[in-house]
Amino acid sequence: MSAPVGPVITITDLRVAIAGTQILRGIDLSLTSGRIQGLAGESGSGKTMTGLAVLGLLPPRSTVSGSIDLTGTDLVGLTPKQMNLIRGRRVSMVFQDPSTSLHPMLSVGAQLTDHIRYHLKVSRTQARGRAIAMLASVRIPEPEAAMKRFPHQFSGGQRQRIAIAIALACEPAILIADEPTTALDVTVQAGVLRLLRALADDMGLAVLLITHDLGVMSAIADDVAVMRAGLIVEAGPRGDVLVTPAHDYTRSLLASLPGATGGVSSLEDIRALAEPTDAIGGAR
Amino acid sequence: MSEGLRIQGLEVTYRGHPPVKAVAGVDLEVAPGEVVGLVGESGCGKSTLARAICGLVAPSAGQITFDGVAVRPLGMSRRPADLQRIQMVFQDPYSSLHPRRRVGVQIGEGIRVAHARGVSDAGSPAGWLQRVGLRAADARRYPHEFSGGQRQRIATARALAAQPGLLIGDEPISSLDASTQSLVAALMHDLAVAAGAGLLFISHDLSVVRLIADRLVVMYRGRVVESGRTEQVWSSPQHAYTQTLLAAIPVADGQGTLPAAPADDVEYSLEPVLHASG
Repeated sequence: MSAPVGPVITITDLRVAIAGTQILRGIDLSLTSGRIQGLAGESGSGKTMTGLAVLGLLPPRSTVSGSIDLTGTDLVGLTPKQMNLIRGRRVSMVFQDPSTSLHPMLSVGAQLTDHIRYHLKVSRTQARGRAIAMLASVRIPEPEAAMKRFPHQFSGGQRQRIAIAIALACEPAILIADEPTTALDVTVQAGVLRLLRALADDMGLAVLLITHDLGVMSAIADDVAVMRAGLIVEAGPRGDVLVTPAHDYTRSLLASLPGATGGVSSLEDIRALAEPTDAIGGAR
Repeated sequence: MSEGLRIQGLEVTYRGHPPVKAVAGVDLEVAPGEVVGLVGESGCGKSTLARAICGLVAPSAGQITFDGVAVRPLGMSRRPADLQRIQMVFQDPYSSLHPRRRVGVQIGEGIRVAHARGVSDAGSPAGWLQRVGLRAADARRYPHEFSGGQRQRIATARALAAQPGLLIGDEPISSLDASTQSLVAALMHDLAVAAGAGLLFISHDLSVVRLIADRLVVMYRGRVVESGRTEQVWSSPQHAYTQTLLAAIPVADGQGTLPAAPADDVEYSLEPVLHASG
């Protein structure tokens, strides 16, 4: 693991409201090179919005306050033009479903070289060489031939690897991965998780891993923050949050999970669970 | 009469170039009151199998019988009454419930199916809502007023109100939050068993399935590759594919254990391992 040299991005008191509804109510989070910061929570807790806010991809009519400090630049309040220079270059994102995040009618090569040429101002040949190297680094077989192929010609796991290659082609310092393995089978998921861990360890990438799956979280995140209703209710090293959770909400999340510490291990355990989750869903 | 579901040598082929054999020779039985967990990766044919049991796709070979009656593929007309005793809960409760009808009315349709078969005491929508852990007053509300987990409870209530002899859940929990998944799975188990119905629970999430199933069936490339008592398959899987599937499950133990990833393009044997007691 590369030596941590302080956070590469620091989010302070981030608040987001969309059309008057408060979505994020004061988020503090920082990412460090070579570390994977997990962001857990149930649907509607605001974890995806946190990721989108960093990239300036919030829906229209949203108001943002607080600061997102990217080594000296505050991303809150940047113009779209300024944001375009950062997005894909210094901060990248991988989305949940690679079959919709990749363009179905453009070859993989076209999707990989477009932003390389925009951001790095290199020639077509140089961009192509770089793209092939990226495909090889995410272990796509026969990367040169793969450049000419289209997304539908790859399996789900390979598509997500291609999406990761696209995100990392301009050597961003930060990768935001929003549910990167949720649409994948467990066997394929295992491979993508190993890839993300290796990227953080070998390239010193700072990763924000957004997922509701605490098993995934436990496998690769160094630090875990648990969100609920627009707030981080608990944050800390993986071992602390997932083994000895301090907050009742984290405890209730783990209690409902087969295989977690203190989680359900039989049908009787499930029946004994209180039902706090639907009440939370309803109170949203 | 009540011998449950019996499937023999089932094959389903989808047209195309080349044709795809989604189910390639499956034998499966679900006895009344038995809970069978069917697991496998996407594309292994588990959903196609479920749809064939309901008559939603036509098999190209093999037989499906339910309580001795052959399942006929659904045509343009209503399903025959004896086959309405097979009910299904689908993956996505956002699309399987009618968005513009009150949930009480939708559960009422299930009850009407039961009445049409001559069941005198099929209950009321309010009663069914209470059985799945919602309030009787919720009958007047619309699906969008509920969370995903609540909607899946409503879909379960609607299916069970038809007094089925077999309930099929096709990935009924995979669109739900993790904390709700085991609750809904346990609810489907308890209600189906209480009604004396068989439950075929299809999921790719082994960690939840193993908590509710009596028997596990593992599918790979359209075939059953392993089946047996749940404890047996879970604790000592014999087939290489089952072993891979189990090893790839990430566990929330806080230890940072990376799940084992299978090597690329591994082909597993299609020779099934069928445990004697299963």
